[in-house]
Amino acid sequence: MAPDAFAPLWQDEKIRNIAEFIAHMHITEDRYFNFADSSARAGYCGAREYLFGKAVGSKLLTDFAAADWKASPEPDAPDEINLFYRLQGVMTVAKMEAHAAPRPKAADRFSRASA
Amino acid sequence: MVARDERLALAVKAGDNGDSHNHNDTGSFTLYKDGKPFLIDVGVENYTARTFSPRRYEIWTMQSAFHNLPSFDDIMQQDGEAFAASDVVVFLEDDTAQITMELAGAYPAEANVTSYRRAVVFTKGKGIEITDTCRGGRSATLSLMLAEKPVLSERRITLPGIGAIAVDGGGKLQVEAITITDSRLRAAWPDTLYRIFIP
Repeated sequence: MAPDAFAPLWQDEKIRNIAEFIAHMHITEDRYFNFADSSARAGYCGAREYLFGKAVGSKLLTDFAAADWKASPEPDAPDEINLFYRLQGVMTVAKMEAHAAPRPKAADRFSRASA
Repeated sequence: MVARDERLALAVKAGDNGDSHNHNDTGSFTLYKDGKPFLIDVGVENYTARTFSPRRYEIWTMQSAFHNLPSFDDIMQQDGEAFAASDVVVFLEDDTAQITMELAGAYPAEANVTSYRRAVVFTKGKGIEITDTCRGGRSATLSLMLAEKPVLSERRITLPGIGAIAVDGGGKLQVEAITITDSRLRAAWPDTLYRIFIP
């Protein structure tokens, strides 16, 4: 499958909203507003959230993810059992370290559900 | 809606009970103060066969009575997209965040709720006022979920070291301790959670 087969999806507003959701719901450290099956402690961000932010062109999420990763007590995720996630993390460390923007200030927000 | 000031962080859900991985939590809210849990959403236990079965809503964490919502003579909200908030109005301004909604539609017919309106007004730097107004044929009892042991007085719920809730218009407050043993819940919460009943 061509690497850019899904490229148009990254520009979809709904996908971008999904990506940025965690930045809006973050409270402090690893705590988040949680509804439904989500946990109140969802962990710290890492490469996946940072790269999701890059893919959808979200400065909010890339700034949030990089700052959150730097604040993590275990940025190397020593308990991560997924080899792909670990390799992805290693390949992204330099970019996250170089990402100097501060953690964005959370803003009030209301979103209506859409189909 | 999510709104914050220097000390309080508030989230309120409207929507419906037909979400993916749904809990019956339409109209519920979560509050943190200084980064500490004040009024909570418990979340979910480790998944089992029952979690994704027709018996999902027999699991206590899925039920509206274990969210910050009322029951009507023990009749709780029902699952499904049809069980929804309506007339949802939101104002977000620099010094105030406000959401109002009609929640009668989140309950089944046997709850006999003619109208249940919830208004949440967050005045930045001062506090949050939540007003529930119900009309119907059954008695309402509001549940509030806490992660710390509360101290109850006639019209006040105090969480030592965190804050206090003034209660106006309700009956005698009662509290129930809920022992938490599930490992997924224990990752987020202490070994005991508390549910307050406000009749």
